[in-house]
Amino acid sequence: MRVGIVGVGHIPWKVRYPDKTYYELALDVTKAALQDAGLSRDDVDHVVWGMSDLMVAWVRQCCPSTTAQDYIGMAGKSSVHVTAGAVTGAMAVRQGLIEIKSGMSDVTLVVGSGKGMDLWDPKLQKRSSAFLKAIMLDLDTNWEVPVEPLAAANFGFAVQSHIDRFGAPTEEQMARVSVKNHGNALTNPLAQSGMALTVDDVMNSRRIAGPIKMLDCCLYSEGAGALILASEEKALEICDNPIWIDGAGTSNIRTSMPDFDHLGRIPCQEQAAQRAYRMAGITDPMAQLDFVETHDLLTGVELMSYAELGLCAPGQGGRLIEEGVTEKSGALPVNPSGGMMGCGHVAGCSGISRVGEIVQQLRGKAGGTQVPINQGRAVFSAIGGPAISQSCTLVFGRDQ
Amino acid sequence: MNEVFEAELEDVYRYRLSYGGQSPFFFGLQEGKLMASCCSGCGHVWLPFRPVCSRCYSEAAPKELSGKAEILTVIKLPMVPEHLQHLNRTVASALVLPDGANTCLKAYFVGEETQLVKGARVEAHYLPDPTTIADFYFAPEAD
Repeated sequence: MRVGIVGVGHIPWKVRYPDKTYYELALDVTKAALQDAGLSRDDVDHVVWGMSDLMVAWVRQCCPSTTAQDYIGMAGKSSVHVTAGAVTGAMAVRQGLIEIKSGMSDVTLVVGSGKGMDLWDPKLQKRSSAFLKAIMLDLDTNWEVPVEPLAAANFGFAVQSHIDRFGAPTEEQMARVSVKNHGNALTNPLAQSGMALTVDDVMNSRRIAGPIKMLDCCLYSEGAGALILASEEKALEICDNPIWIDGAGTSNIRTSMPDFDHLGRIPCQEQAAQRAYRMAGITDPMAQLDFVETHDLLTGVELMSYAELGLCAPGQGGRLIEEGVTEKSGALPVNPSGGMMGCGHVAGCSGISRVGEIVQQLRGKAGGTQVPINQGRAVFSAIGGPAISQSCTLVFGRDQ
Repeated sequence: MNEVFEAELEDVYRYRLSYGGQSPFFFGLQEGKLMASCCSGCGHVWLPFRPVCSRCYSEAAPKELSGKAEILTVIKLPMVPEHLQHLNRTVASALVLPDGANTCLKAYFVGEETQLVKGARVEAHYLPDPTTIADFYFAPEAD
Protein backbone atom coordinates (compact mmCIF):
# COMPACT_ATOMS: atom_id res chain seq x y z
CA MET A 1 0.00 0.00 0.00
CA ARG A 2 1.35 3.40 -0.99
CA VAL A 3 1.06 6.54 1.13
CA GLY A 4 0.33 9.83 -0.57
CA ILE A 5 0.55 13.48 0.38
CA VAL A 6 -2.75 15.15 -0.46
CA GLY A 7 -2.51 18.49 1.35
CA VAL A 8 0.13 21.11 2.03
CA GLY A 9 0.03 24.06 4.43
CA HIS A 10 2.70 26.75 4.30
CA ILE A 11 3.30 30.13 5.81
CA PRO A 12 6.16 32.42 4.84
CA TRP A 13 9.42 32.09 6.74
CA LYS A 14 10.09 35.17 8.85
CA VAL A 15 12.75 36.39 11.24
CA ARG A 16 10.02 36.57 13.86
CA TYR A 17 6.27 36.24 14.17
CA PRO A 18 5.70 38.62 17.09
CA ASP A 19 1.97 38.46 16.50
CA LYS A 20 1.64 34.66 16.76
CA THR A 21 2.34 32.00 19.37
CA TYR A 22 3.73 28.66 18.19
CA TYR A 23 0.31 27.06 18.41
CA GLU A 24 -1.31 29.84 16.41
CA LEU A 25 1.28 29.18 13.70
CA ALA A 26 0.44 25.47 13.85
CA LEU A 27 -3.25 26.27 13.46
CA ASP A 28 -2.60 28.47 10.42
CA VAL A 29 -0.78 25.72 8.53
CA THR A 30 -3.20 23.00 9.65
CA LYS A 31 -6.15 24.94 8.24
CA ALA A 32 -4.20 25.60 5.03
CA ALA A 33 -3.31 21.92 4.60
CA LEU A 34 -6.86 20.75 5.25
CA GLN A 35 -8.16 23.32 2.77
CA ASP A 36 -5.60 22.21 0.19
CA ALA A 37 -6.78 18.61 0.62
CA GLY A 38 -10.45 19.55 0.70
CA LEU A 39 -10.84 17.87 4.10
CA SER A 40 -12.13 18.90 7.51
CA ARG A 41 -10.50 18.23 10.88
CA ASP A 42 -12.99 15.41 11.42
CA ASP A 43 -11.34 13.52 8.56
CA VAL A 44 -7.99 13.35 10.39
CA ASP A 45 -7.34 10.10 12.29
CA HIS A 46 -3.91 10.83 13.70
CA VAL A 47 -1.49 13.71 14.25
CA VAL A 48 2.30 13.55 14.03
CA TRP A 49 4.00 16.55 15.60
CA GLY A 50 7.42 17.60 14.37
CA MET A 51 8.61 20.12 16.93
CA SER A 52 12.05 20.52 18.39
CA ASP A 53 12.79 19.88 22.05
CA LEU A 54 14.58 23.23 21.83
CA MET A 55 11.13 24.73 22.38
CA VAL A 56 11.86 24.28 26.09
CA ALA A 57 14.48 27.00 25.84
CA TRP A 58 13.01 28.98 22.96
CA VAL A 59 9.48 29.56 24.25
CA ARG A 60 9.67 28.01 27.76
CA GLN A 61 7.43 25.13 26.69
CA CYS A 62 8.00 21.45 27.28
CA CYS A 63 5.66 18.98 25.49
CA PRO A 64 4.44 21.68 23.08
CA SER A 65 2.41 19.17 21.09
CA THR A 66 -0.10 18.76 23.91
CA THR A 67 -0.92 22.44 24.09
CA ALA A 68 -0.89 22.77 20.34
CA GLN A 69 -3.04 19.71 19.61
CA ASP A 70 -5.84 21.15 21.68
CA TYR A 71 -5.43 24.56 20.06
CA ILE A 72 -5.65 23.21 16.49
CA GLY A 73 -8.85 21.38 17.32
CA MET A 74 -7.47 17.85 17.32
CA ALA A 75 -7.95 17.02 21.01
CA GLY A 76 -8.86 13.39 21.50
CA LYS A 77 -7.14 12.15 18.35
CA SER A 78 -4.17 9.83 18.63
CA SER A 79 -0.83 11.55 18.21
CA VAL A 80 2.95 11.19 18.35
CA HIS A 81 5.53 13.90 18.94
CA VAL A 82 8.82 13.50 17.07
CA THR A 83 11.91 15.50 17.97
CA ALA A 84 15.35 15.03 16.43
CA GLY A 85 17.02 18.41 15.99
CA ALA A 86 17.04 19.59 12.41
CA VAL A 87 15.90 16.14 11.24
CA THR A 88 12.66 16.46 13.16
CA GLY A 89 10.47 17.42 10.20
CA ALA A 90 11.71 14.63 7.96
CA MET A 91 11.40 12.12 10.81
CA ALA A 92 7.84 13.31 11.41
CA VAL A 93 6.95 12.65 7.77
CA ARG A 94 8.52 9.19 8.06
CA GLN A 95 6.48 8.59 11.22
CA GLY A 96 3.34 9.57 9.32
CA LEU A 97 4.29 7.10 6.60
CA ILE A 98 4.73 4.32 9.19
CA GLU A 99 1.42 5.19 10.85
CA ILE A 100 -0.52 4.75 7.63
CA LYS A 101 1.49 1.83 6.26
CA SER A 102 0.86 -0.03 9.52
CA GLY A 103 -2.86 0.35 8.94
CA MET A 104 -3.37 2.30 12.16
CA SER A 105 -4.82 5.31 10.38
CA ASP A 106 -6.06 6.37 6.96
CA VAL A 107 -5.47 10.12 7.20
CA THR A 108 -2.62 11.63 9.20
CA LEU A 109 -1.77 15.26 9.78
CA VAL A 110 1.97 15.95 10.03
CA VAL A 111 2.45 19.39 11.53
CA GLY A 112 5.05 21.48 13.30
CA SER A 113 5.90 25.02 14.18
CA GLY A 114 8.96 26.71 15.60
CA LYS A 115 9.72 29.97 17.34
CA GLY A 116 13.09 30.95 18.71
CA MET A 117 13.25 34.69 18.54
CA ASP A 118 11.42 35.34 21.79
CA LEU A 119 14.77 34.68 23.46
CA TRP A 120 15.57 38.33 23.73
CA ASP A 121 18.46 40.52 24.80
CA PRO A 122 16.90 43.67 26.29
CA LYS A 123 20.19 45.59 26.04
CA LEU A 124 20.81 44.83 22.39
CA GLN A 125 17.10 44.83 21.53
CA LYS A 126 17.51 41.74 19.39
CA ARG A 127 17.61 37.95 19.65
CA SER A 128 19.72 36.86 22.59
CA SER A 129 22.86 34.73 22.30
CA ALA A 130 20.96 32.24 24.45
CA PHE A 131 19.22 31.15 21.23
CA LEU A 132 22.41 29.66 19.82
CA LYS A 133 23.50 28.50 23.27
CA ALA A 134 20.33 26.43 23.42
CA ILE A 135 21.04 24.93 19.99
CA MET A 136 24.49 23.89 21.18
CA LEU A 137 22.84 21.75 23.86
CA ASP A 138 22.14 19.13 21.21
CA LEU A 139 25.82 18.23 21.55
CA ASP A 140 27.10 16.09 24.42
CA THR A 141 26.80 18.49 27.34
CA ASN A 142 29.63 16.82 29.30
CA TRP A 143 32.15 16.32 26.51
CA GLU A 144 31.42 18.82 23.74
CA VAL A 145 29.40 21.85 24.79
CA PRO A 146 32.09 23.33 27.11
CA VAL A 147 34.65 23.34 24.25
CA GLU A 148 32.29 24.30 21.40
CA PRO A 149 31.65 28.04 21.69
CA LEU A 150 30.13 28.42 18.21
CA ALA A 151 27.38 26.52 16.42
CA ALA A 152 29.08 27.17 13.09
CA ALA A 153 32.37 25.77 14.41
CA ASN A 154 30.61 22.55 15.24
CA PHE A 155 29.48 22.09 11.62
CA GLY A 156 32.78 23.63 10.58
CA PHE A 157 34.56 20.57 11.97
CA ALA A 158 32.76 18.48 9.41
CA VAL A 159 33.62 20.79 6.54
CA GLN A 160 37.22 21.29 7.63
CA SER A 161 37.80 17.58 8.05
CA HIS A 162 36.31 17.00 4.57
CA ILE A 163 38.74 19.55 3.14
CA ASP A 164 41.61 17.93 5.08
CA ARG A 165 40.71 14.50 3.71
CA PHE A 166 39.79 15.27 0.11
CA GLY A 167 41.47 18.62 -0.61
CA ALA A 168 38.12 20.15 -1.54
CA PRO A 169 35.87 22.06 -1.70
CA THR A 170 37.51 25.45 -2.04
CA GLU A 171 35.99 28.42 -0.26
CA GLU A 172 34.97 29.80 -3.69
CA GLN A 173 33.09 26.60 -4.46
CA MET A 174 31.33 26.85 -1.11
CA ALA A 175 30.45 30.46 -1.89
CA ARG A 176 28.73 29.32 -5.10
CA VAL A 177 26.23 27.35 -3.00
CA SER A 178 25.29 30.51 -1.11
CA VAL A 179 24.90 32.43 -4.37
CA LYS A 180 22.73 29.63 -5.80
CA ASN A 181 20.45 29.15 -2.80
CA HIS A 182 19.96 32.82 -2.02
CA GLY A 183 19.29 33.37 -5.73
CA ASN A 184 16.76 30.54 -5.91
CA ALA A 185 14.94 32.06 -2.95
CA LEU A 186 14.35 35.25 -4.92
CA THR A 187 11.51 33.52 -6.78
CA ASN A 188 10.02 31.87 -3.69
CA PRO A 189 7.29 34.01 -2.10
CA LEU A 190 7.67 32.04 1.16
CA ALA A 191 11.40 32.77 1.42
CA GLN A 192 12.88 34.93 4.14
CA SER A 193 16.09 35.99 2.47
CA GLY A 194 16.25 35.87 -1.30
CA MET A 195 19.35 37.78 -2.42
CA ALA A 196 21.25 38.33 -5.65
CA LEU A 197 24.75 37.66 -4.33
CA THR A 198 28.11 37.26 -6.01
CA VAL A 199 30.89 34.89 -5.00
CA ASP A 200 32.84 37.96 -3.86
CA ASP A 201 29.96 39.00 -1.59
CA VAL A 202 30.16 35.65 0.17
CA MET A 203 33.95 35.56 0.26
CA ASN A 204 34.05 39.05 1.77
CA SER A 205 31.41 38.38 4.43
CA ARG A 206 32.54 38.12 8.04
CA ARG A 207 34.61 35.05 8.86
CA ILE A 208 32.96 33.00 11.61
CA ALA A 209 35.40 30.13 12.21
CA GLY A 210 37.82 28.16 10.05
CA PRO A 211 36.58 28.23 6.44
CA ILE A 212 33.08 29.37 7.44
CA LYS A 213 31.89 32.91 6.71
CA MET A 214 28.62 34.61 7.55
CA LEU A 215 27.06 34.05 4.11
CA ASP A 216 28.05 30.37 4.23
CA CYS A 217 25.52 29.92 7.04
CA CYS A 218 21.79 29.27 6.90
CA LEU A 219 19.09 31.47 8.37
CA TYR A 220 17.38 31.20 11.70
CA SER A 221 13.69 31.70 11.28
CA GLU A 222 10.23 31.25 12.68
CA GLY A 223 7.66 29.32 10.74
CA ALA A 224 5.38 26.32 10.44
CA GLY A 225 4.41 23.60 8.03
CA ALA A 226 1.73 20.96 7.67
CA LEU A 227 1.06 17.99 5.41
CA ILE A 228 -1.93 15.68 5.04
CA LEU A 229 -0.91 12.07 4.40
CA ALA A 230 -3.39 9.43 3.29
CA SER A 231 -3.49 5.75 2.46
CA GLU A 232 -3.42 4.96 -1.25
CA GLU A 233 -7.13 4.23 -1.47
CA LYS A 234 -8.05 7.34 0.49
CA ALA A 235 -5.53 9.53 -1.33
CA LEU A 236 -7.01 8.62 -4.71
CA GLU A 237 -10.47 9.44 -3.35
CA ILE A 238 -9.29 12.83 -2.13
CA CYS A 239 -7.41 13.99 -5.23
CA ASP A 240 -6.15 12.80 -8.57
CA ASN A 241 -2.54 13.85 -8.05
CA PRO A 242 -1.24 12.52 -4.72
CA ILE A 243 2.49 12.78 -4.26
CA TRP A 244 3.68 9.38 -3.07
CA ILE A 245 6.27 8.76 -0.38
CA ASP A 246 8.21 6.06 -2.21
CA GLY A 247 11.12 5.66 0.18
CA ALA A 248 12.30 6.60 3.64
CA GLY A 249 15.54 5.89 5.45
CA THR A 250 17.22 7.03 8.62
CA SER A 251 20.53 6.56 10.36
CA ASN A 252 22.25 7.80 13.49
CA ILE A 253 26.05 7.87 13.73
CA ARG A 254 28.14 10.29 15.76
CA THR A 255 30.55 11.69 13.22
CA SER A 256 33.32 13.56 14.94
CA MET A 257 33.80 11.71 18.23
CA PRO A 258 34.53 9.32 19.80
CA ASP A 259 35.22 7.36 16.59
CA PHE A 260 37.21 9.19 13.96
CA ASP A 261 37.21 6.84 11.00
CA HIS A 262 34.25 8.76 9.54
CA LEU A 263 35.97 12.16 9.65
CA GLY A 264 35.25 14.16 6.52
CA ARG A 265 32.12 12.23 5.66
CA ILE A 266 28.46 12.22 6.72
CA PRO A 267 27.91 8.47 7.10
CA CYS A 268 24.43 8.81 8.58
CA GLN A 269 23.27 10.63 5.45
CA GLU A 270 24.83 8.05 3.15
CA GLN A 271 23.14 5.22 5.06
CA ALA A 272 19.78 6.98 5.23
CA ALA A 273 19.89 7.71 1.51
CA GLN A 274 20.83 4.13 0.63
CA ARG A 275 17.94 2.82 2.72
CA ALA A 276 15.48 5.24 1.13
CA TYR A 277 16.79 4.55 -2.37
CA ARG A 278 16.51 0.79 -1.84
CA MET A 279 12.89 1.16 -0.76
CA ALA A 280 12.11 3.41 -3.72
CA GLY A 281 14.09 1.50 -6.33
CA ILE A 282 16.52 4.35 -6.98
CA THR A 283 19.78 2.98 -8.36
CA ASP A 284 21.04 6.01 -10.30
CA PRO A 285 19.94 9.19 -8.53
CA MET A 286 21.48 11.50 -11.13
CA ALA A 287 19.34 9.91 -13.82
CA GLN A 288 16.21 9.03 -11.87
CA LEU A 289 15.60 12.25 -9.93
CA ASP A 290 14.33 15.62 -11.15
CA PHE A 291 15.68 17.61 -8.20
CA VAL A 292 16.92 17.35 -4.62
CA GLU A 293 16.21 19.37 -1.50
CA THR A 294 18.96 18.81 1.04
CA HIS A 295 20.37 20.18 4.26
CA ASP A 296 22.31 23.40 3.66
CA LEU A 297 22.99 24.62 7.18
CA LEU A 298 26.44 25.43 5.80
CA THR A 299 27.44 25.70 2.15
CA GLY A 300 30.15 23.11 2.69
CA VAL A 301 27.66 20.67 4.19
CA GLU A 302 25.51 20.87 1.04
CA LEU A 303 28.58 20.05 -1.06
CA MET A 304 29.47 17.12 1.19
CA SER A 305 25.88 15.88 0.86
CA TYR A 306 26.18 15.58 -2.92
CA ALA A 307 28.46 12.59 -2.40
CA GLU A 308 26.46 11.07 0.43
CA LEU A 309 23.34 11.18 -1.78
CA GLY A 310 25.21 9.41 -4.56
CA LEU A 311 25.43 12.36 -6.94
CA CYS A 312 29.23 12.27 -7.14
CA ALA A 313 32.28 10.75 -5.51
CA PRO A 314 33.39 12.07 -2.09
CA GLY A 315 35.34 15.29 -2.50
CA GLN A 316 33.70 16.09 -5.86
CA GLY A 317 30.84 18.24 -4.57
CA GLY A 318 32.70 21.44 -5.38
CA ARG A 319 33.21 20.31 -8.94
CA LEU A 320 29.47 19.65 -9.30
CA ILE A 321 28.48 23.19 -8.32
CA GLU A 322 31.30 24.67 -10.39
CA GLU A 323 30.00 22.85 -13.47
CA GLY A 324 26.48 24.16 -12.80
CA VAL A 325 24.99 20.68 -12.38
CA THR A 326 23.06 21.61 -9.23
CA GLU A 327 21.95 25.06 -10.36
CA LYS A 328 18.23 25.51 -10.97
CA SER A 329 18.95 25.29 -14.70
CA GLY A 330 21.36 22.36 -14.25
CA ALA A 331 20.99 18.64 -14.84
CA LEU A 332 19.94 18.02 -11.21
CA PRO A 333 18.84 21.17 -9.36
CA VAL A 334 19.59 21.11 -5.63
CA ASN A 335 17.55 23.29 -3.29
CA PRO A 336 15.49 25.09 -5.94
CA SER A 337 13.32 26.40 -3.08
CA GLY A 338 16.27 28.39 -1.76
CA GLY A 339 16.96 25.85 0.98
CA MET A 340 17.60 26.75 4.58
CA MET A 341 20.02 29.40 3.44
CA GLY A 342 17.69 31.51 1.34
CA CYS A 343 14.28 30.26 2.33
CA GLY A 344 14.42 29.73 6.09
CA HIS A 345 15.09 27.26 8.88
CA VAL A 346 13.97 26.48 12.35
CA ALA A 347 14.99 23.18 13.85
CA GLY A 348 11.80 21.18 14.07
CA CYS A 349 9.26 22.07 11.46
CA SER A 350 11.43 23.16 8.54
CA GLY A 351 11.64 19.64 7.17
CA ILE A 352 7.84 19.52 6.94
CA SER A 353 7.80 22.78 5.02
CA ARG A 354 10.50 21.59 2.65
CA VAL A 355 8.55 18.43 1.90
CA GLY A 356 5.67 20.79 1.11
CA GLU A 357 7.92 22.58 -1.39
CA ILE A 358 8.70 19.21 -3.01
CA VAL A 359 5.01 18.35 -3.25
CA GLN A 360 4.29 21.65 -5.01
CA GLN A 361 7.20 21.02 -7.43
CA LEU A 362 5.99 17.52 -8.30
CA ARG A 363 2.48 18.87 -8.73
CA GLY A 364 3.93 21.42 -11.17
CA LYS A 365 2.61 24.23 -8.98
CA ALA A 366 5.81 25.67 -7.54
CA GLY A 367 5.47 29.00 -9.30
CA GLY A 368 8.76 30.84 -9.74
CA THR A 369 10.81 28.04 -8.18
CA GLN A 370 9.40 25.39 -10.54
CA VAL A 371 11.96 23.09 -12.16
CA PRO A 372 11.25 20.73 -15.08
CA ILE A 373 9.66 17.47 -13.93
CA ASN A 374 10.55 14.61 -16.27
CA GLN A 375 11.15 11.57 -14.06
CA GLY A 376 8.48 12.55 -11.57
CA ARG A 377 10.74 11.87 -8.59
CA ALA A 378 12.59 13.96 -6.03
CA VAL A 379 14.48 13.55 -2.77
CA PHE A 380 14.57 15.38 0.54
CA SER A 381 17.49 14.71 2.85
CA ALA A 382 17.81 16.22 6.32
CA ILE A 383 20.80 16.10 8.65
CA GLY A 384 21.04 17.24 12.21
CA GLY A 385 20.85 16.70 15.92
CA PRO A 386 23.59 16.92 16.95
CA ALA A 387 25.37 18.55 14.00
CA ILE A 388 25.67 15.91 11.27
CA SER A 389 24.94 12.83 13.36
CA GLN A 390 21.38 11.94 12.35
CA SER A 391 19.80 11.86 8.93
CA CYS A 392 16.49 11.07 7.32
CA THR A 393 16.11 10.84 3.57
CA LEU A 394 12.76 10.63 1.80
CA VAL A 395 11.99 9.82 -1.84
CA PHE A 396 8.85 11.22 -3.43
CA GLY A 397 7.14 10.46 -6.70
CA ARG A 398 4.07 11.20 -8.74
CA ASP A 399 2.16 8.98 -11.13
CA GLN A 400 3.44 9.87 -14.60
CA MET B 1 -1.10 43.33 12.69
CA ASN B 2 -2.99 44.09 15.89
CA GLU B 3 -1.05 45.48 18.82
CA VAL B 4 0.86 42.67 20.56
CA PHE B 5 1.43 42.39 24.29
CA GLU B 6 5.05 41.45 25.01
CA ALA B 7 6.67 40.85 28.41
CA GLU B 8 10.34 40.55 29.34
CA LEU B 9 10.95 37.47 31.51
CA GLU B 10 14.07 35.84 32.89
CA ASP B 11 14.68 32.22 33.89
CA VAL B 12 17.84 31.14 35.75
CA TYR B 13 18.84 27.52 36.20
CA ARG B 14 21.61 26.35 38.49
CA TYR B 15 22.93 22.80 38.55
CA ARG B 16 24.83 20.46 40.79
CA LEU B 17 25.82 18.40 37.78
CA SER B 18 26.76 14.77 38.31
CA TYR B 19 29.33 13.28 35.96
CA GLY B 20 28.22 9.83 37.12
CA GLY B 21 30.44 7.00 35.96
CA GLN B 22 32.62 9.43 34.01
CA SER B 23 33.82 10.97 37.29
CA PRO B 24 37.30 9.36 37.20
CA PHE B 25 38.16 11.57 34.22
CA PHE B 26 37.25 14.73 36.11
CA PHE B 27 39.05 13.63 39.29
CA GLY B 28 42.00 13.07 36.95
CA LEU B 29 41.81 16.66 35.74
CA GLN B 30 42.04 17.78 39.36
CA GLU B 31 45.31 15.85 39.69
CA GLY B 32 46.72 16.92 36.31
CA LYS B 33 46.18 13.52 34.74
CA LEU B 34 44.47 12.51 31.50
CA MET B 35 42.29 9.54 32.44
CA ALA B 36 40.82 7.18 29.86
CA SER B 37 39.07 3.86 30.43
CA CYS B 38 40.23 0.50 29.13
CA CYS B 39 37.71 -2.23 28.37
CA SER B 40 38.34 -5.47 30.29
CA GLY B 41 36.79 -7.44 27.45
CA CYS B 42 38.10 -6.10 24.14
CA GLY B 43 40.84 -3.73 25.30
CA HIS B 44 39.32 -0.69 23.59
CA VAL B 45 40.60 2.50 25.24
CA TRP B 46 37.90 5.13 25.62
CA LEU B 47 38.39 8.87 25.93
CA PRO B 48 35.75 10.33 26.43
CA PHE B 49 35.82 8.08 29.47
CA ARG B 50 33.18 5.33 29.51
CA PRO B 51 32.83 3.01 32.53
CA VAL B 52 31.19 0.38 30.32
CA CYS B 53 32.47 -0.45 26.84
CA SER B 54 29.93 0.47 24.16
CA ARG B 55 31.41 -2.18 21.86
CA CYS B 56 31.14 -5.28 24.07
CA TYR B 57 29.40 -4.05 27.27
CA SER B 58 32.29 -5.20 29.48
CA GLU B 59 33.43 -3.01 32.34
CA ALA B 60 36.15 -0.52 31.49
CA ALA B 61 38.68 0.44 34.16
CA PRO B 62 40.40 3.84 34.54
CA LYS B 63 43.71 4.09 32.69
CA GLU B 64 46.07 7.05 32.84
CA LEU B 65 47.34 8.27 29.48
CA SER B 66 50.53 10.23 28.86
CA GLY B 67 48.67 13.42 27.97
CA LYS B 68 50.43 13.58 24.61
CA ALA B 69 48.29 13.56 21.48
CA GLU B 70 47.92 14.35 17.78
CA ILE B 71 45.58 16.96 16.29
CA LEU B 72 43.11 15.47 13.76
CA THR B 73 41.11 18.59 12.81
CA VAL B 74 41.35 22.24 13.74
CA ILE B 75 38.87 25.11 13.58
CA LYS B 76 40.47 28.40 14.57
CA LEU B 77 38.15 30.50 16.71
CA PRO B 78 37.65 34.22 16.11
CA MET B 79 37.68 34.88 19.84
CA VAL B 80 39.50 33.50 22.85
CA PRO B 81 37.29 32.01 25.58
CA GLU B 82 37.45 34.16 28.68
CA HIS B 83 39.08 31.54 30.89
CA LEU B 84 41.97 31.14 28.41
CA GLN B 85 42.64 34.82 27.73
CA HIS B 86 45.47 34.94 30.27
CA LEU B 87 47.51 32.66 27.97
CA ASN B 88 47.74 35.40 25.28
CA ARG B 89 47.61 32.84 22.48
CA THR B 90 45.32 31.93 19.61
CA VAL B 91 42.70 29.28 20.44
CA ALA B 92 41.11 26.64 18.24
CA SER B 93 38.54 23.94 18.73
CA ALA B 94 40.19 20.67 17.80
CA LEU B 95 39.57 16.98 17.46
CA VAL B 96 42.41 15.33 19.34
CA LEU B 97 43.66 11.72 19.22
CA PRO B 98 45.37 11.05 22.57
CA ASP B 99 48.33 8.65 22.51
CA GLY B 100 47.14 5.29 23.80
CA ALA B 101 43.45 5.89 23.08
CA ASN B 102 41.32 4.29 20.37
CA THR B 103 39.02 7.30 20.25
CA CYS B 104 39.26 11.04 19.80
CA LEU B 105 37.79 13.90 21.80
CA LYS B 106 37.10 17.58 21.33
CA ALA B 107 39.27 20.03 23.22
CA TYR B 108 40.71 23.51 23.06
CA PHE B 109 44.04 23.78 21.22
CA VAL B 110 46.12 26.78 22.28
CA GLY B 111 49.23 28.11 20.54
CA GLU B 112 50.70 30.51 18.05
CA GLU B 113 48.52 30.77 14.97
CA THR B 114 51.03 28.94 12.78
CA GLN B 115 51.11 26.03 15.23
CA LEU B 116 47.38 25.35 15.06
CA VAL B 117 47.49 22.79 12.27
CA LYS B 118 46.29 19.27 11.57
CA GLY B 119 48.89 16.68 12.54
CA ALA B 120 50.49 18.82 15.26
CA ARG B 121 51.90 16.96 18.24
CA VAL B 122 50.46 18.33 21.44
CA GLU B 123 50.32 17.73 25.17
CA ALA B 124 47.67 18.37 27.78
CA HIS B 125 47.78 21.35 30.15
CA TYR B 126 45.51 21.53 33.18
CA LEU B 127 43.81 24.52 34.76
CA PRO B 128 43.16 24.69 38.51
CA ASP B 129 39.81 23.75 40.06
CA PRO B 130 38.29 22.04 37.01
CA THR B 131 34.52 21.84 36.58
CA THR B 132 34.22 20.99 32.88
CA ILE B 133 36.38 19.65 30.06
CA ALA B 134 37.08 23.26 29.09
CA ASP B 135 39.38 23.34 32.12
CA PHE B 136 42.18 21.60 30.30
CA TYR B 137 43.62 22.25 26.87
CA PHE B 138 46.25 21.02 24.48
CA ALA B 139 49.30 23.02 23.40
CA PRO B 140 52.21 22.10 21.15
CA GLU B 141 54.62 19.66 22.77
CA ALA B 142 57.37 21.30 24.83
CA ASP B 143 55.67 24.67 24.43
